[in-house]
Amino acid sequence: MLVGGSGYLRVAEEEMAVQLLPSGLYASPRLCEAVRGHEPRLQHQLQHGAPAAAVLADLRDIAERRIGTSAREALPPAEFYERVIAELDGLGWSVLLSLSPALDEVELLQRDDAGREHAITMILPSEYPRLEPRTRTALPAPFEISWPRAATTGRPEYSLAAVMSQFKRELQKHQLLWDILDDFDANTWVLEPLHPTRDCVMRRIALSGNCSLQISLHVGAPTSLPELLFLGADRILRPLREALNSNLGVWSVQRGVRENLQDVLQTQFPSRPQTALGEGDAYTTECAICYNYRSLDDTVPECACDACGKPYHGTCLNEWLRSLPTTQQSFNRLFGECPYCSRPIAVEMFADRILG
Amino acid sequence: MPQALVEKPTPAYRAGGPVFHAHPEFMAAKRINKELQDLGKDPPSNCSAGPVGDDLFHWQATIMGPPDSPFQGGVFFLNIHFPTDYPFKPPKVSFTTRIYHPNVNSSGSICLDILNSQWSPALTISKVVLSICSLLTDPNPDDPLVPEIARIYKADRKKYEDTAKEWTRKYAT
Repeated sequence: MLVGGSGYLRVAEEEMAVQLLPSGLYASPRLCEAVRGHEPRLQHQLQHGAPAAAVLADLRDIAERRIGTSAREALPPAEFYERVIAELDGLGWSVLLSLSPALDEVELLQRDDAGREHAITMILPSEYPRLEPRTRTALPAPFEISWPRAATTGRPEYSLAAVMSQFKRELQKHQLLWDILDDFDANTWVLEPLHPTRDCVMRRIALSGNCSLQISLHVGAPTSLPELLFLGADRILRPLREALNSNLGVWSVQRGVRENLQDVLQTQFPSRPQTALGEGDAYTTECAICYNYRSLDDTVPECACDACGKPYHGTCLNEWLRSLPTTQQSFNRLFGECPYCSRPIAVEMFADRILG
Repeated sequence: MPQALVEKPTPAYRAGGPVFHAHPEFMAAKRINKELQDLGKDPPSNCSAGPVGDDLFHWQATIMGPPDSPFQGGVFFLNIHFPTDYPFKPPKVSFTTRIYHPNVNSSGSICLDILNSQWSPALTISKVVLSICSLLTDPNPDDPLVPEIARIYKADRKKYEDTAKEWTRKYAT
């Protein structure tokens, strides 16, 4: 329950964040949704000094009633279960990764041509197979299913087998993309994401000197020049940017992206060190002000001090420099000192532009 | 201990009070949480700090009186409040244990440059507490909060140390 100013409320087996501040009562979006319409009552209670525990108990009761009832839908008929079991018998139970107790959520395994494993989840409505099941996959592009039509009625025929065969064909479309990403995972030091899913086409890899390179492949043309974002001290990155600009002509879509990048940037990407875990700390380019990698605006620390190499979110450095009377402004740039080494540092006034 | 906030902040539901936009507290809470983890990994000697209950923005710290000071043998408690825009603004730190010191007044306020004009996001609560430790060993009588104690510290060191020891025995043991 609520301790201090913030905590969790247990509603229908779910933990929901809630915060009671002097300025008001705040809750997670889902909880807000669940108590919509009851705000005036809660407001009245708060304004008339009802004890926090009472208000929260009330909040939980309201939410429980709403969320609890929506979960308790009518059970599907027996044919539904027979059908699902029969379909799974047909597909072979070895492809079944997980099955919800109500049999309405089926997770199946499909292998692509390179032997990579992919999961697909199907959420079956209780009127299945009359109504269309929803699918959930980790694919880099949206996966549209075209259902086979019944010859007599022309109505779509929903089945797990139809989904599985189309999913297999869909996987073939992305083989080249995944080959390239697997190549990065195997031969470079991938800093982010730590556990890439198959729908993630971004890799941030280590360069020398505490710098890193964020690579985002194009799903439709994976061998073309990807989107690149250099992160780190300008001193080290400048030669790389210059090499990129002058050697772009060397890029060949016939070759892998890693080989192309190494040729164009005239560098070798370091591979993951096999030794001590702590060595990676040098590359965790968290913002030295807020200690996070991603900011609230979902930017990465795109600025770095040229002298000491400390990385910063442009927004954080902005906010800090703006609070100092010694900071100078010229056009839309702020000139101040690095909070760590006190050497000169500059940043865009509105750091929504990504440097590099 | 639950984290202060787990969800990406969205302008949330309110019942009374002003609209609460994206939580500035969210980023502050994450940084404070990391500082807390770092403290656990590498605890400073002779002092400790951590949240009071489950409120990540309210901490308590303890400092053991430094051996080469008249505060030796005493245990001093401090109250720490992090502002919601931490680390852009310094934490508010004050003694809850009474202490006889030229830079600490009777309500526990501390006169220390890094808690005011010289604050920087490069500092951490651990560095702040360590600075307060060294302030106990080396007072700064030229920038006093209690001019009378500063005067005695400069004019009659023996009297200062005797009084400081006396207060330590009385309030901090």
